[in-house]
Amino acid sequence: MENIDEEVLQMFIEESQEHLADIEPDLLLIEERGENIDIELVNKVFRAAHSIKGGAGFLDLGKIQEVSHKAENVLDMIRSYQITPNPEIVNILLLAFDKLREMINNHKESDQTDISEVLVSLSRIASSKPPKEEKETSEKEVEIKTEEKEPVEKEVEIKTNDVEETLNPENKTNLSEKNNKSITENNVACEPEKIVPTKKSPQSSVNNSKEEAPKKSSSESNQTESSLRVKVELLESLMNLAGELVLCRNQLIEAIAQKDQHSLQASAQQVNLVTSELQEAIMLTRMQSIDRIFNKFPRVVRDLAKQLGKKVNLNIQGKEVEMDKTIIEGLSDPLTHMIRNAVDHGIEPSDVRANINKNPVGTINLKAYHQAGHMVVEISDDGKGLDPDKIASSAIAKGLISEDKVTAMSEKEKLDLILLPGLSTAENISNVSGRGVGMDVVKINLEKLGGKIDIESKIDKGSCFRIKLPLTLAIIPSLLVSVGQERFAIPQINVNELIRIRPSQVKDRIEQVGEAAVLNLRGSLIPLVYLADVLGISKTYLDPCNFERKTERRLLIADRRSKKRSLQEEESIDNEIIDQEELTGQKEQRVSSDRRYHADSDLNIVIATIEDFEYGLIVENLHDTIEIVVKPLGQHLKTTKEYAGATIMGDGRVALILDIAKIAEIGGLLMHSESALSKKSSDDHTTKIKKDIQSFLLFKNSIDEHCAVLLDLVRRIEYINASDIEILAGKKILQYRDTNLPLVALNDVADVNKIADEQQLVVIVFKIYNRDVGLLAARPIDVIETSAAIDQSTLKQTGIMGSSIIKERTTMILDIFDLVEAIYPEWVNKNNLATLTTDGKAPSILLAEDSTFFRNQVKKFIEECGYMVIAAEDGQEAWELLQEKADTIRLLVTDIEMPRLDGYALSRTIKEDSRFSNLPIIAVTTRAGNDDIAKGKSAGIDDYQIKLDKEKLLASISSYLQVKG
Amino acid sequence: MEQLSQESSNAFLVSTFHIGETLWGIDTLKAQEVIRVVDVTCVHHAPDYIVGIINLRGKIVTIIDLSKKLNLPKLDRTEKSRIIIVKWNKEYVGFLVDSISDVVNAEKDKIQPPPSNINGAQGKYFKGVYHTENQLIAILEVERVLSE
Repeated sequence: MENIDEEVLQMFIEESQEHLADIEPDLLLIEERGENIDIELVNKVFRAAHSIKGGAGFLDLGKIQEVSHKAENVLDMIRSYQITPNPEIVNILLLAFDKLREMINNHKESDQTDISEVLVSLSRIASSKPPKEEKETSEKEVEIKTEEKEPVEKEVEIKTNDVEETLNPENKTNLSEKNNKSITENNVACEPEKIVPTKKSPQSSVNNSKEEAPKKSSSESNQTESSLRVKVELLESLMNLAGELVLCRNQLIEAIAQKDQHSLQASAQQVNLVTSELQEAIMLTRMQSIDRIFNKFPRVVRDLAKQLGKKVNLNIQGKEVEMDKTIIEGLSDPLTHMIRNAVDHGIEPSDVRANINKNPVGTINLKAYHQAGHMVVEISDDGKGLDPDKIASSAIAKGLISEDKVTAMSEKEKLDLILLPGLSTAENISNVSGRGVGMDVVKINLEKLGGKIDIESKIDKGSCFRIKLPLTLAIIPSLLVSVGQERFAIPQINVNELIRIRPSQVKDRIEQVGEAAVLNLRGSLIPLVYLADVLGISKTYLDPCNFERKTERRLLIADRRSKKRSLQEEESIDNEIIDQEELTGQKEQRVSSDRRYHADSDLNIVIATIEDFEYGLIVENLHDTIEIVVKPLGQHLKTTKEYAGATIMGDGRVALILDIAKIAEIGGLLMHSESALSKKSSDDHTTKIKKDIQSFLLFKNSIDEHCAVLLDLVRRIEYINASDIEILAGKKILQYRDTNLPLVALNDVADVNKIADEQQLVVIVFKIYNRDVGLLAARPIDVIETSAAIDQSTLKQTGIMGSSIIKERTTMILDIFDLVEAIYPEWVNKNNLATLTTDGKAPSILLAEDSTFFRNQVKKFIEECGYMVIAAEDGQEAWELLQEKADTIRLLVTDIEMPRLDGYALSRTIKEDSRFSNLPIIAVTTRAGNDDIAKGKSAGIDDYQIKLDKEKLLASISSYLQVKG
Repeated sequence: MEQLSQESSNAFLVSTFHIGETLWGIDTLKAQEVIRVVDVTCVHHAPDYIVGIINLRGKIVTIIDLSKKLNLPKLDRTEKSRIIIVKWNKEYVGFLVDSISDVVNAEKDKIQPPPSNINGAQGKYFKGVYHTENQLIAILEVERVLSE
């Protein structure tokens, strides 16, 4: 009998907890609507209260029944329009339900709980507008209440309060005090033990007290662990699958008994299908909507705002976003802390807001969404924002960071200092939250979940905390690929497209630039890496003749040489890159059946993306896309960063999950997008000013002359036979794709060696001035990225902008525009020339660029078009110059990464100043990703151009100046 | 040498296994189970003593080649090769050994310190030597093997 009671009780408790969780947001909605009562909503709450009452009555939990009954009465009055729900009434109801929750969580002692206060307030509402029929019943209630009240009051009232006072502050401040963890833990552990026995009334069993006490203090956090909500739909599919599995088992048994090979196979297959489906469905149950934690925030905000006398609106978006249960649970505390922070310190009091022309009601936006393989939770407020300098000076004052480090920091990096342990900028730390106190704990908690926090803030405009959580614990769709016998999973989110190149097309599609291979994908060049190389697996290929797996011998992907060329010839050109051993190997291998001539295996390429960087990963085979659960690797494998984890596949074997970003790094593809750089720099606070990194294509003009040209300008590279070049009217022309491609050579204009008289030459195709033009070269070497300084005087001449030491060799940096202009002066687009201002002066352009090289280059070619250029070495100087010469400057061309004041900050400053808000701003950058463009747009940048893409930049300048008149 | 006071805690069981010719042992309580060598997924770029990872009923288990870790001559995987699963720091780790042998009753205070001529990698991971009637068992310092 007792067992049944226990079960029923447990059910009641779980059910009530669910009801209570729903009630809270509903009540807040009721409050919001005020007179505009939503009957359906009130009914819902009413029903919830009613079922709690019913259950409590059945289980003889008197006090619970009583409180829920009272609450129900009040709700009934709201429902019948007898009273209007105002904040006061809702508050009382909320308190009543809080009390209910407390009693239900602690049902054994519920009868000892003091409920008089709640009952009095509830009755007061009920009797405040006493309707005729209701009056009697409500009076009756009051009587009951007084009867019950007496015995309770005597022994418990004060004591429970005591207990609560000792327990609650700890519960609430738990998070902010976690840095004093040892102390807090001690408190939690000891205090309840000491107090609870005194609280116990004599008649309750002593046994209980010891068990209940610790439970109570942690009941809030434990609650979530014990049970889980699963969508009925999902549960039903689970049931279905389980049924199906039973069926399959029966078939299997049958088949085994009958020794029927065919049906044995069939049912095995069936079992296979059903189990994997079942597994998937079960895994899905772990996914919970973030609703679970978002739901409590309206209440948190409302209560806190009330307490602080502020007016705050909370907007929640993305409640339906699903996340792994563990992540959701781990998010709860940090989010609560940050929301409280936002209310307490972010949002100003109404009168302050009104004074500075802000809506007296503050707004906090809480948003969850999926973005590029991450879960993002955003908390933004329109409050006073964070002051980076204040944070920085506070950090210095507290000795957390040295002063000279801070001076080199950007605003954003200063903001990130708030995450350092022991930092607080709040002038007076309130009991609610000290802005900054505990942010380090928030950070640590998020890091445990593999999350990252990103802070953006603008003084007086508000701040935005963006939490990026990887889906590590969640189920992620992944692409299975294989190299040899080994399978790997690549998160689908990193996969942009899959490309299979037929053997016959390899030569056309893939170009070998020295040691680096690039894929020509719809006009853009994408660097390629072999997964096998990166991981050090020996490459294999499927021999087309006998389907045996053989070890790949080719060094280069595009290595499908023609018969005509002898090895010796090749050696003379290639002696640097093909090592001798390989060559001798090849000589022996070279028979007519060698697959170098046939090259029958397809090339499978996964175009992978990280942030906005793309590269091609060559794998041997592409398999299915499957949903996988990421499992962490053991501690012994922590050093192997190329794997994001492991997963267990359908067949029970383990596959490693590739970390696409790390693979690129190992493969020698430096990550160079601005976002990747800034990510790195925010990881360690020891940041230097970022250097401009440029990608260059290295090639040889003649044997000893190394040259480099900006990769961004290169369209493609072609191998041609020297005999194909025609010379017409003194100019070199190549028949190329049915058109004539004009060719230029560096020795046409500059004093350099003539290109070696080779049979095979290379043409680097550029598109400038809207025309294709080819630059003749002996052969390409490599694609590199460098931030090396460029010497602009020693080797300067027509077509050469300077020199630099790249790969330990002096390399001439070509100015392809200059070169082409020297040969085809008529191509220069006259449209880009400056139109003089009305008073006959050339329009002035302000140029902010920290690298001397780029400053001079950009300045030069803008000046060539007839503009005046005022150059500044960084954003700060530019800002000063702009104010000084406000009347002449018509346009700003700015770099993004600069010391003191970066491009974003400069743009923001300018756009916010009414004098300059119409000034067009063009940002020049090494590479503009979509993220950067979006960020730039919001900072007020009008256009993005790639540095040294002279023509486009000039066109952009010209168009902005013309529009602006 | 061992801080033991109670008679009962003195006795313990040693699971023994072979790596090459040597007989090694670990406290049976530390070993969760012994499994046959299953499909091991190779982890490229991992330290050389790591054989790979396996799926043990849904858990990813790192497999350590004890012969490599202990700097013993490398032996081929055979029919008799086994993996001893050990729980360590909330995760499971497997030791690849050449074969497993008996479980032996032992007394802690009879473990003798490692011979002074064993040093280097072997000596470091060595808790001591236990003599049975007819054989010597090298007791493995599991914690140290795993944490270094």
